[in-house]
Amino acid sequence: MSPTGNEPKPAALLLRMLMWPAVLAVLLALPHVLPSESALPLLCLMGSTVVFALSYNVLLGQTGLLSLGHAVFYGVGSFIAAHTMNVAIKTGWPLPLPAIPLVAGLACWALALTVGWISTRAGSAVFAMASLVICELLAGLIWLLPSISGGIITSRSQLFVINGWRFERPIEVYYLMVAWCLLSALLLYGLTRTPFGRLCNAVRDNPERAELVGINLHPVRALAVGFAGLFAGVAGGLATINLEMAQAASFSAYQSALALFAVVIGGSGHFLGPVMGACLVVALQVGLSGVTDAGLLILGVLFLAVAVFQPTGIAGMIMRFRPVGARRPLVADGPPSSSQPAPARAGATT
Amino acid sequence: VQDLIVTSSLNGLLHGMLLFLLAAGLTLIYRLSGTLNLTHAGCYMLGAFAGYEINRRYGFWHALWLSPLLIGGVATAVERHGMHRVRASARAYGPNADLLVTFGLGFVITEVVRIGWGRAPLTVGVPTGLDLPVTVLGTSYPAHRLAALGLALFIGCVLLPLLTCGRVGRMLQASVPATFGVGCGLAAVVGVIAGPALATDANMAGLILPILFVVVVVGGLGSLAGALVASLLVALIPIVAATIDVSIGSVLARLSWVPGLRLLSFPPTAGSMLDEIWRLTVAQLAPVVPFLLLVLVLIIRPHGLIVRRAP
Repeated sequence: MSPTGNEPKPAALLLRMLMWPAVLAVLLALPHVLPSESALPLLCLMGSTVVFALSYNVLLGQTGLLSLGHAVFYGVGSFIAAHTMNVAIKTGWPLPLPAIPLVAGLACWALALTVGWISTRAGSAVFAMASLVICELLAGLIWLLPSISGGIITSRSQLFVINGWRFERPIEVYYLMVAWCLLSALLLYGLTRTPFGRLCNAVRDNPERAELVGINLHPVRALAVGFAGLFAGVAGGLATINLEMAQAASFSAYQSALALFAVVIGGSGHFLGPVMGACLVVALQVGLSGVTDAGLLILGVLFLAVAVFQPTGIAGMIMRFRPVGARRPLVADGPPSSSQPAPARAGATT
Repeated sequence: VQDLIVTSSLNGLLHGMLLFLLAAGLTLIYRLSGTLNLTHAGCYMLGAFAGYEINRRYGFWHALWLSPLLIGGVATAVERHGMHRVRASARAYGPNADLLVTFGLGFVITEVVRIGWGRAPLTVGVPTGLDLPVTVLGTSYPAHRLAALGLALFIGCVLLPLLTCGRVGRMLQASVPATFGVGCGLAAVVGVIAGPALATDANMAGLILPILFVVVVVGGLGSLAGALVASLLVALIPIVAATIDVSIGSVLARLSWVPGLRLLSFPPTAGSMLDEIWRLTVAQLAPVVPFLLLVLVLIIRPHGLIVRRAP
């Protein structure tokens, strides 16, 4: 589907194939390079936010759905993870800590498919509004239950031990985080390459045309919400493991906005955009929280500036400086951008 | 008991009319430009705070016209010089760019207000001469609330038809920036009216936004009549729900004759989370009842109560 002039050169292809192992090597070496272990919880927070932002991009970047309440799956995931951990500790189930995000993710998948099915029937504008309301509904219900409204405190080191991994040291938690991050990123990247991923792109780029060629919009959007919810639940589970608690603030509008900010600032048009955005947003938030009260305001202004002046985000900015041979049209991964070559555009419209 | 009924139905009517005016502004903007204005709650809050500052210096009645003029003017300029550009080149910006920009503006407004005025609620001055109770149907009710209700009814029944129908309406609907300004100005008026009657604090935008969305979705996106019905429903149902002191468990126990529900009627073990849910009363659920209404409407009528046209 890409024009002949745009096929990547062998060097670029090699670079792309070597990228994943290189990222893995850097992530594994990072704790040994850093001067102290105190930075590890911050890296873990970045890890869970990266998964959260990547899951959000399934909606905004891949399917063209703006969700204002994506935190509902993050929050439910973190509460289910904390509850499962406490039950496993009490009853002695052979459930190791690395499986907790999977439990949270699967539970959120079921929830997200239900929520997605009922909220995407009437188009994307209604979905945007319904997503916020459903998040507020769950948050309101949590506040009504006194046993969990104050959060659930749990412990990560008392679960079933496999191979001597007790998760008492921060570095063990960090490696768990890296493993889950890479696994989620790989699966989500794979999702964009499946026929379903292409259907999502078609629905995003032109819903009317997609409907005319016979794509039923509703199930595609509902399934996209399901996948996004699955990985947001995983992110919530990871956050619970990192903090050793689940809190009602996970359901807040700020948590939803965080995912949106990360995706837009990083750039929803490239798969790695949300990763960069999430790292930047977490770094900014943590860095500014001790200095000024206006941290969120600065984030909001940055978001607004990116949305108006650099709609393709940081990733789009970087892509502009890539060598010509390595350039690919962005069609498969994101909204049509100005860096797309003219022949491809002409070919797409005829 | 009669006092309570009169007071709460007047409060509900006031709340419903204010919600309707907000939803009407949102609907007008959506119908013309196709943009869902996520800054709408922000305009409402800015209107309330601008109204508070003007009210403090020049009195309530000046705030009533000055604040919406200010907010509406700024909104027109923002639409004319910022939003318009983003919407016009959807190719470069992607399909949701206008929503992103309005969301960002709303977020920034909330943060600016929180930093500028703090989190504590402000006490907004009641208009002079109206800080006394009056007797309605044998019940004493604050006069300024009655005036607020009258104002809201006046705007809804007189000004709004003027703005949507007839010559002025057609002229207005020829211009997206003007409609944007009018819609946001309408939100600001609601903010000024709500100032003395309801709470004015940095949280008000975040609280009203989901309720506003419930009204718009339940009524049917783009339908003014639907918005009117839905806003009254959304305002009155929680008031009714707040008076029902029946727990969920007892309702389920009553329903135990339904075959599928018999399992649910068993009382759960004391102290468990299920037990907490069973003990919740309908009155406690009142704040989330509008949200439950939205879920119900999405299931049975996904396009809302009154479908204007396929979006």
